[in-house]
Parts: sequence; C-alpha cells; structure tokens
Amino acid sequence: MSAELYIKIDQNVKVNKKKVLLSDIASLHCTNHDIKKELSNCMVLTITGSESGIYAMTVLAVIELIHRKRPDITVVNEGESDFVIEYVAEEDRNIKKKEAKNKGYEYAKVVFVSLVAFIGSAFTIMTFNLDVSVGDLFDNIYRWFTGVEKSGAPTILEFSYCIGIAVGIVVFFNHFSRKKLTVDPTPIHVEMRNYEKQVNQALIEDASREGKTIDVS
Amino acid sequence: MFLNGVAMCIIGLCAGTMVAAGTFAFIVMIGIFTRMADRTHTSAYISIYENAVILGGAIGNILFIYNVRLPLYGAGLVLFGAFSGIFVGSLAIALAEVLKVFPILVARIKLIEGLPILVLSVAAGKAVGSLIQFIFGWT
Repeated sequence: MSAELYIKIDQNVKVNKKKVLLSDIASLHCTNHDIKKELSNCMVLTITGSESGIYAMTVLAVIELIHRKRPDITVVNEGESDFVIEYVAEEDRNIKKKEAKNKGYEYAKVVFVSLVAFIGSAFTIMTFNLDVSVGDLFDNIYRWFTGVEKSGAPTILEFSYCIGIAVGIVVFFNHFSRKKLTVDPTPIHVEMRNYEKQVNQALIEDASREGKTIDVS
Repeated sequence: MFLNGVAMCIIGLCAGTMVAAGTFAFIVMIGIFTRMADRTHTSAYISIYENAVILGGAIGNILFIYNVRLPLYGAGLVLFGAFSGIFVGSLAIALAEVLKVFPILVARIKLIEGLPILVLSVAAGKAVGSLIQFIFGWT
C-alpha cells in the first residue's frame, strides 16, 4: 500500500542556508514516520552565488523531487501551488542584525512615519472640514435648534463633534495604544498582510513571465 | 433649551463618528501607511502609526474647530508644510495607483524602459505645479 505524504508550503519562505532541505520550506505529515524522516532531508534547492536572492518555485517541482526518491508515495499538497524562497545571505543577515542593534536609526524611521501619519491625518480632517463647509453647516444646525444665530464662539455642537471624531477613529482602528477593544486585527494590520501577499504574488508572476520559475521540465 | 443642547450633542457625536470612520477608512485603505511601514522595515511598529493617525485626526480637528493658536512660527510652518506635503504627495500617487492609471498607460504605449523616469517626472511635475500655483496665487 502506498503511503500518503501531506505537504504544506507557505507563499513566502525565508531560508538562511545554501542547501535548502524539504523540511526547511514545508511542513510535512505522513502516517509512516520513517518516510517523513527520510523525505525531510530531501534536497530541494542548492543556492549558487553568495548574494541574497529570491527564487520562485512550483509545488510540482517539489513533488517531482519527492517522487525521484520515493516513486511509490502519493503526495498531497495542502499549501500554495507557487511559492517564493527568499535566501538571505550571511552578510546581509549580519547587516540586519547590526541595524537591529542600531535602535536609534529604527526609532528615527518610526518617528518620521509617525509624523507623516499625525500631520497627514490632521491635514486630512481639516481639508475635509473646509471642503464640505462643516462650519457653515454647524451654523445652520445651531439655528434650527436654538432659533438664534451663533455668536461665533464654539458651542456644544462643535465640542461633541470633536469627541465624535476621536471616538470614530478609535472604534475604526479597534484599539488605542496597546489596549485592543476586540481581538480582531486592526485595519492597518489587515492591509499590511494584504500588501505582503500582493508582493509575493507579483514576485511569482514575474519569475514565471521571465521563465525563471523552478518547475518540472 | 436643554433639549436643544441634548439634540445638538447627539448630532455632533454621530456626525463626528461617521465622518471619522469614512475619512480614515479612506486613508487606510489607500495604503499609504502600510507602504511606508514596509519600505522602512518598521511594520512591527504599526500600532504606533495607528496611534499617530488617531491623535492627528482628533487633535487636528480640535485645532481647526476651535481656532487654537500654536505660536511655533517658522518651525511649525516648516514641520507642518513638509510632512503634510509628503502625505499629500503619497496620497495623490496612491490614488493614481488605485485607479490603475500607470499600468494602463504603460500597457497602451508599450513602455518597457524608463519607468523610473516616469515616476520622477510625476514627482517633479507635482512639485513644480504646486510651486507655480502658490507663487502666482491661483488658489
């Protein structure tokens, strides 16, 4: 009876070694432990050259490699059909470590992006208020409710609008500071993952267009 | 009088909440901050960026509505001008990207080389355009 090997590979796999084994890129499951052990040491890719690089590969190539070793087993793919292997060279890793140690540089970047976010949001809400004439509208609403013209000084209406803006953003982002309102990830978090997925997809499609994908021949 | 106050309070709160949700949903979905976090390799700090958006929106609105004076003079002008400029520049390009202006243009005229020059030209065009607008007072 032929055993079944289940493999699952993520869309983006980071490796540090030049000799990439099956167990480095995939999670494996097989009812027969010996087969699993034997195949986890199956060589998937040998990286030539010492620079960091990105290699696109199809799962068919992986299945072919497995079948070359054990033609009798059935491979069941539970993961992506195309994926990228990102090789990070030793020196690049050291640079990254150095950069990670250099917290000042990182904080400077965070401060920069935060400033863009802070002042940009302030700018956005002000342009919105001006663009749709929130002030004029508030004058009208004040007149409806009180029958008198607004004297110019801000009233309870403006005050509650300011509170409402803050409440709206906090509810939308689902957290304030470290305190999360619910367990869901925040919208920026979701967008971040979406963006990473699109980048991987573009890398895979680029490689396939240039014929650089590692596939069955 | 009291009921009027209550009604205005409710209107203000609801209006503010919906305006905030709409406006800030827009700037998040357009993906400026995710892009910046990715470029600067600081995606671990996105909760700080979210806080900055929350504070910026809330405080900016208060400054606008209450006409608060911030006597920072030149430093304040440069700070606000530069960073709101960076933000609007990213917003404009992000919008063009969402509407697929460049992919369609590039595909139509079969442009293969020179994409960096195209991007640079867009940036320079926006800078020169707004300079001309402000110098000649076309606002």
